[in-house]
Amino acid sequence: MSKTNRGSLTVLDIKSIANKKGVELPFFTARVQAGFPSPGDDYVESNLDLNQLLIKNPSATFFVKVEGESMSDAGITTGDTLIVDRALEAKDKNIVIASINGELTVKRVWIANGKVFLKPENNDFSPIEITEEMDFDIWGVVTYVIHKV
Amino acid sequence: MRDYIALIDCNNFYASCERVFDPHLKNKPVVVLSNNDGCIIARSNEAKTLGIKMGEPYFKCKNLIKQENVKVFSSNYTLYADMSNRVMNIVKEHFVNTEVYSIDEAFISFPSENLSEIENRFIKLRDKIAKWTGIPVSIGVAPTKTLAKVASKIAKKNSGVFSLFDKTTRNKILKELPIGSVWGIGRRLNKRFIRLGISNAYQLSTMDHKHVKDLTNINILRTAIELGGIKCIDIDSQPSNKKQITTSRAFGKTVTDIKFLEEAVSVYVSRAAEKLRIQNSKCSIITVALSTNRFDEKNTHKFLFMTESLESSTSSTQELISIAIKLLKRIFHEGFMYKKAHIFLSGLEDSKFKQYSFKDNIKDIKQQDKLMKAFDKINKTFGSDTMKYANTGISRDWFMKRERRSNRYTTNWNEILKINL
Repeated sequence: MSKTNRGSLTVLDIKSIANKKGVELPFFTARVQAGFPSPGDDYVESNLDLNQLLIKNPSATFFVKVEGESMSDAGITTGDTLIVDRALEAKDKNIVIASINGELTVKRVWIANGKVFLKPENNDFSPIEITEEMDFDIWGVVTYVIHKV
Repeated sequence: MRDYIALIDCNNFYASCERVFDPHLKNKPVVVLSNNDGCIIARSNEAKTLGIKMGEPYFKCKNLIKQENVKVFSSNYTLYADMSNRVMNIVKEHFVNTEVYSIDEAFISFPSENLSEIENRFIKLRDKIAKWTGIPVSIGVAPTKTLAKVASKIAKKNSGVFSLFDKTTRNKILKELPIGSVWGIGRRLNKRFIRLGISNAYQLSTMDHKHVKDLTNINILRTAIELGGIKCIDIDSQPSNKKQITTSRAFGKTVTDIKFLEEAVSVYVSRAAEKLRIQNSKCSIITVALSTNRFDEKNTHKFLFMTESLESSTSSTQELISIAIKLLKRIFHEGFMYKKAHIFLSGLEDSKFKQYSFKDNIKDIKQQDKLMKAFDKINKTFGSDTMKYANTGISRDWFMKRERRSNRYTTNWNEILKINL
């Protein structure tokens, strides 16, 4: 992770979101003093919290770092961080983390003619058909990509 | 409406945590080692089948491990604690009255009118925990904590959920349960009961109450009554603060130099002081101890210690370090091969109700409290040891051996799971 990410405090700490209870109070900046208080004080609302936006189920959410180009057309490339929610049921067209014979991979679920495929998002790669003999598990559903621009 | 008790127990917890992040380990034997890679402290079912024993020193089963290609991990408590929190939070979302009993067990108390719906409810909970966190759990349900513990063991061998309400079934199970496997019966009591001809749990449950109490103590009487299906031990959903805080760990190698010991003691005191502040306590007694290797056959085992009572209780890392170093210098004896250092903090009181003495400089104490608060906040936000006292050393080459630790997948950005697309 880049330095800026490390600097953004609680936002990135899974443990602290899981434990957080109650509402964080906004921080009032203006001191009580003789003179005019800041006219903004009455309008202070809580801070924006990325966790709130990106993480629905903290106990089931994990982060994964990826390398490779097989998902580049879906906007997932080397160095990106994925947010993975294990609580979600994987559905057709979802991007998932799956394990095939013990190997973890990121692909799109594709159901066609009663068959299940894991589809890469890059024409240089071909889809994998999931068959009975494979040791196949869905590890989690990818909900967001953190991509440095 | 009656209240019932369930025990949620994570299966082979540490080994299961390792498996979540490496599907290759599925159906393979996995073991986890204690601090310093000393003994086996967790085994997957496959490792149990191979005959690897709980608590067995690693060097003793090294050959078997190699032969059978068992995956070995150093303990990764950061990961286990986080995975435990996840499991416990899911349980707490469903049941208000939850007691986190250990890193991998939680008791819950819940009302129910309808016995038949209970099992379904817990099958759903088990499946949810497995899906959300990847951790398999067993759940035992019964009228009492002691019986829930029995039920959870049976659950582990069966489908994962077992309820124990029916009296005939209960008696049958208790007759087959060795007395030493009952919750709360330790090794010594086990021996005593066996000598008295009490070898199974059923016998204890039907003994005369007064007789039990005369033979043992009130706690074992409670256990006996609970085995009979009557609740005596309540759910403790408000964990009470610890009365003593201990940090005691072996070094990665034996240490003879006091410089290293000073670093180690400073690190252990820092940890202990952090634990102290987490529960908002201050301590008034500190003990520092050093011990040599217990397994060394050439030299006798040494345990050196010294205690100091403080005039004014404190939770300040810097104050505690300076006292600990002073004690260390007094007990240190040149020429011994030290293997372990221990810090005990006791005489704890709530920070809010600190008794000030006349000699106390209240302003200094308040300032020190503020400093520690800032210190803890920085370390909580940026990771532990971002800020530390210089006494705790930079290289720390005496530090624990953890040669096979897996990544801290859930708490450290540099160690999160990596996948090749």
